[in-house]
Amino acid sequence: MFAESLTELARADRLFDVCLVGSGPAGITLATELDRRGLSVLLLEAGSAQFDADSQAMLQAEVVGPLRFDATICRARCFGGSSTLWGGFCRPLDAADFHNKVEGIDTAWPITRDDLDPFLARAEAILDLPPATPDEPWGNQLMRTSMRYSPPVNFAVKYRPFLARSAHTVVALDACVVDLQERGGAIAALQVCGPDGTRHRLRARRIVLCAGGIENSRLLLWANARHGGRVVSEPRTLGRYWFEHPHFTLGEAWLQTASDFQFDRWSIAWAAPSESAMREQGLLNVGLRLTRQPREASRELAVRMACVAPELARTALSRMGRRLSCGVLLRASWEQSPQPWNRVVLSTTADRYGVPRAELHWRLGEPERHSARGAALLLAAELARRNGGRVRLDPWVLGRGGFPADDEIKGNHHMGGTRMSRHPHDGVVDPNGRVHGCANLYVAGSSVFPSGGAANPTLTIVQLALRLADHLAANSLPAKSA
Amino acid sequence: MPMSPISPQPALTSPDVCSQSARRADPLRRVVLRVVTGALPGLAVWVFTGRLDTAVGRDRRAVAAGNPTLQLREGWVLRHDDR
Repeated sequence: MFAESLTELARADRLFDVCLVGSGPAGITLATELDRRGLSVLLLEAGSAQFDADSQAMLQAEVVGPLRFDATICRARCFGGSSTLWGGFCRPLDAADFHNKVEGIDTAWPITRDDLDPFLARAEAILDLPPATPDEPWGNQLMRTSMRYSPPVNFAVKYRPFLARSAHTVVALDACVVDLQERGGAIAALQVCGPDGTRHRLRARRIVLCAGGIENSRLLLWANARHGGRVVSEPRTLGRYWFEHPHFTLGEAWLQTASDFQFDRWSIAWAAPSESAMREQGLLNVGLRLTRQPREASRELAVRMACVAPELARTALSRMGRRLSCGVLLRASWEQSPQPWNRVVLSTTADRYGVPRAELHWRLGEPERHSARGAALLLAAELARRNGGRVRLDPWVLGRGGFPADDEIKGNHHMGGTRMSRHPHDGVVDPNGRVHGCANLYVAGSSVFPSGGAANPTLTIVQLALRLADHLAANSLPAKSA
Repeated sequence: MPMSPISPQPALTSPDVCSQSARRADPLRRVVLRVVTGALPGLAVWVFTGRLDTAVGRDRRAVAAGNPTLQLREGWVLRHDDR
C-alpha cells in the first residue's frame, strides 16, 4: 500500500522487518521479493510519484576533474528511480570481470559469477529480456558479443499495482532519509524529511540503502560524519573506488562484407577482447560498438581511406555502391580501473534539508586509454587478417592528446563508492551487502561493485538485489532485535 | 608501401613516426618500380620476383600465425600490401 502521510506513518511507530531507502531497480526488486516471502517492508522514496524538476535539483553534484558532466542526468529522484529513464541495455558481467585482469589494478570481487548466475533467470524475467545470444570467438583474441534490450522496464509502472495492493509493503513517497541514527553498532532509526522539511523517525530491523551510485556514498559519509564514524567503522574506502564506463569514439572502420556482422536494433555490432587477450595484453574489459553508418557517411569514410590506400578505397566504394560493404563508427564503452582518488566526497554546499551535496572527483587515466587502444587494435588486426575491413583510430587513442571532452565521456553508470570486500579494510560492505561492523545496515545497487566490467550495470544490480533478498529472507532477525 | 611493422598490441608508434616511415619507404618503391618497368629488364625481374616471394611468404607466415604485419598510416591500421 502507499502511505497516506509520513506524519501518520511515523506516529504509528511500526517496526518493519526491512526498510528500503530508494525505489529504483534495486529497491523495488528487494521490495517485491521480500514482500512475497511475507516480510513487512517499508519502501522510502525521496521524490514523488512523478519526475519533478525541483525535486531533481536535490541531486545536483559538482564534478571535479578534467572531464565535466552533469551528474543529475540519468538519475531520477522519483518513484521508480533511474528505471524511469534508462535505455534498457542489458548484459551480465563476464566471468573474468570478477577477477583481477591487469597487474596492479584491483578489479576482483569477493564473489564470482557463479554466485550471481543462479539469479540470472529471475533478473531476466524482471527486466522482460529476450533470450540471450551466446558470445562466440571471432579469431584468437576477440569475442563477438551482443546486448539484450529491456523494453525498457519502468519499475514504477510494472510494480506499482503489486505494491499498491500489498498487505506487507508500505511505500512512502516524498520521504527523504537525512540521517541514520546509530546505537550500539546498529541503526536504531532513520530520520526522514517530508517535503515541508518536517522530520520524522522511522524504524526497521534492517535497513538497505538503495539510493543509487552516488547517493549511497553520500548518505553514509554524512551519517558517519554525524555519528563519529560509528556507522562505517572502517571508512578508509568509503566514497572511494568510484567509477563509470568511459564512452568515446575510437575511430571508424570499413567492413568489406557487412553481412559478416549482426547489427542489432540500434545498428550496433558488438565485440570484446577474449579473457585470454585481456590477461596477455593487460586490458580491462572493453565493449566495442561498431555502429553502422548510412550510405553517405560510409562513402565519406572511403574517401578518407583513399588518402592512404587509394586502391583499397576504390574497392570499398565499388562494394558500397552495391551495398555489400559499409562504414562503421568505432565506439566503445569500457571498464574503468577502480582507483581511490576517484571518489564521492561531501561538498561544502548543502541541499534544502541541510545535507551536504555530493562532490564527485573523477578522471580517466592511462589504463583506460591502453585498454581502449588495445581492444581497437585487436579488432583492426583481425579485420586485416581476414581482409574483412580496415580500422582508423583517432589521434587521442594513439596517444596524441587527452580524452576528447566533447564526446559522450561516460555512460551514466555510477558504480563503486561502497565497494564489496571480504575484509573491512578493503571495502564498505561484505559479500552479502552488509556494511562491515554494522549489524543491520545493508547497501544494494551498483555502489557495491568493486569493478564494473564493460556491461551495463542494471542486470547485475537486479541479480545482486535478488541475492540480497534471499539472504535477508533466510536470515530474518528475531522480532525483539534492532 | 612497406612501413614500420606493428604488432596488434600493445606498443604503437605515433602517427607522425609512421608517416615519416612511409615517406622514407616511398623512394625505394619508386626505384623498384622504375627498374621493373625500365632499363634493366633482367635485373628488374630478379628484384621484383625476390621482393614478391619474400612479401608473399612473410604474409602467409604472418596470417598463419594469426598476426599479420600491420602498418599505421594516418591512423589507418593497414596490411603491408594495402595500396
